[in-house]
Amino acid sequence: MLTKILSAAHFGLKTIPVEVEVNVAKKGFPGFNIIGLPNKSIEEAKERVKTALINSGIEFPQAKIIVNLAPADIPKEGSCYDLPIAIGILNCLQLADLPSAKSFFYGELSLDGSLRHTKGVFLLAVAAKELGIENLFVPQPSANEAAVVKKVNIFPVVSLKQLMSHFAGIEPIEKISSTAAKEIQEASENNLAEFDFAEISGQEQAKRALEIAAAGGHNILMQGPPGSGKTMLARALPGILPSLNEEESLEVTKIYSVTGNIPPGGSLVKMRPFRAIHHTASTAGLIGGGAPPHPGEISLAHCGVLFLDEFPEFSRTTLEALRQPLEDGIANISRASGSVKFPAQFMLVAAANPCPCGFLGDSKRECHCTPRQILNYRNRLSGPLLDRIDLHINVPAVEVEKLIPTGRASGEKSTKIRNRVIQARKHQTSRFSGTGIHTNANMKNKQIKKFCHLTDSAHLLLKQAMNNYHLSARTYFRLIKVSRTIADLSQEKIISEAHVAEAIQYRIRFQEN
Amino acid sequence: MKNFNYQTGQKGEAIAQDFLTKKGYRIVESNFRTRFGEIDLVAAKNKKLIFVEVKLKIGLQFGSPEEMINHRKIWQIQQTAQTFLQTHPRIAAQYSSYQIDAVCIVSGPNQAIQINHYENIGTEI
Repeated sequence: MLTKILSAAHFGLKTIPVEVEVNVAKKGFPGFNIIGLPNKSIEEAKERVKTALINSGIEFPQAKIIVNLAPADIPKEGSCYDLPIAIGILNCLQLADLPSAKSFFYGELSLDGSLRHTKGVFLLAVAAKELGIENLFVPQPSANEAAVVKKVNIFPVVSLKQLMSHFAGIEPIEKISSTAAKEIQEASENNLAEFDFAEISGQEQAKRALEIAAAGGHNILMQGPPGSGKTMLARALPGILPSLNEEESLEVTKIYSVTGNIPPGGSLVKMRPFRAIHHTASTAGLIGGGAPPHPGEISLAHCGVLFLDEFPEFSRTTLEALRQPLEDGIANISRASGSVKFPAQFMLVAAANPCPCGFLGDSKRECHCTPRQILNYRNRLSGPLLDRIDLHINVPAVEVEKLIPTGRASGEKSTKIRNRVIQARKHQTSRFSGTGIHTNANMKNKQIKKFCHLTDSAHLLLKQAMNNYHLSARTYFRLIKVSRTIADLSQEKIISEAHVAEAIQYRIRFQEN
Repeated sequence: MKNFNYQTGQKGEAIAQDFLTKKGYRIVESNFRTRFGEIDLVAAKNKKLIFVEVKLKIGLQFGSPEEMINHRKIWQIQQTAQTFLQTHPRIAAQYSSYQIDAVCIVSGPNQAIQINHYENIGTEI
């Protein structure tokens, strides 16, 4: 007997419906075969399904079972076909009546017959809505992800046994009521930064630059001797970032769902991503890659922060691969098996020492490096890459007087800075609504023309800076974007001289020393 | 233990031989051995030479006999069958086609025996 069950496969962030055809034939030599380009994890589904059925009290049939995953020419991976295969076999044995409405079955089976958390359920729910599929049978630990999508019936399944009694009408599974994305959004305002800005002594200039970077999503490079607090500053950054808005949250959740980064029982991602990457990262790990292509760290940092500590220690090819995504906000991965686009509008935060020994330009300690060594160290970061970083700041060693705690509070609390950042982001959200752009940093020339109005004196200052420092055209537009953010932070509509001057100051420092 | 397994095999083959003869097969040879493996029975019917794998299980607590026949086993039988045809050219010449069958026997308590005969399993699994 033949049954067809609907399930789905994910390619990049696209979802393609897959028909799981199960044939149980009493004639022929008994066996269990899966065809339709399965990979190893699907091949192993045979053992999982068989054992799960037996442990659910069903006698596994001595029959010739063939499972076909159609369309058969697309390679498939993942453990999500366990449930459709099991349901297909049960239906062939007439132990489960399928609902007449179109339904997606999706999920990994445990050997005891219960369902395990499976990645990609959020994307599945989005696809179900687009394709007009009414019912969704997904593992209970993953059901919250799907609950965000409205107009689809979501059945959280605990075990095969429970699903069978649901079909038999003995004990129906209760649908999850679709939680509006907004409610989930508002429920969380907690922050999990390791440090508070108030705990960091001194470094007022760096704090100000990070505030601007956070407000506009600008890339920032921090340079300073070892132990001056670059890493600490970066680790404190999540504390001043606003939580994701609804649109951003949906985009981030898609990527997190397909990579299995959502914990069991989790729903929408509300925290802005903060990805700290070690410098041994491979190009494929950072940008994305593999066959079929998987998103890399820059996509996981979409709408959030990508923190690259010891920036010059990264391999040259890895860093240069960042150039195109930094400009376009998209990671374009082309392989023989197909090309995939992942969103990657991230904010780059990089930290580096000024030279191999780390003390170049330090007021107290002497640098031991030869000019050659310094040159080599500098050359690890290419000009085009540095050109894409808007804010270059020095993080000097902290003076000992500032380290010893005095009676008064040392600095502003993160929450206070965060409120200013949220205000600045609000201007941007209303400005860019419906354009797919979230922050000032992602503006294209069209938006710059439309939203960035400079006073005459600001224009003049910008022109002088361009001529004096021989800045590139890209730098010109990036300077305007940073000025826009600084103006947003001070709640002003028109960009004035002071805003431009501050923006220029962050740009020039690196080239001077 | 080894001896016990051997005896079980002998018993199974005796049952299968009986079963096939009653079905109208002619037994050409039994226990043909090469260094690849062994063919339990070589039978013939309707101008067809049939290589038969016999599996006997006493009780089902260690799985069904069908589960014991997999890809590797079939490949092994195919290799051994090739050798058989090469070393017995006169027999090979009499038949136009060849086939691999399996006879799976489960013996329960009180001499109860269940026999399943699967034809042409070489193209399956």
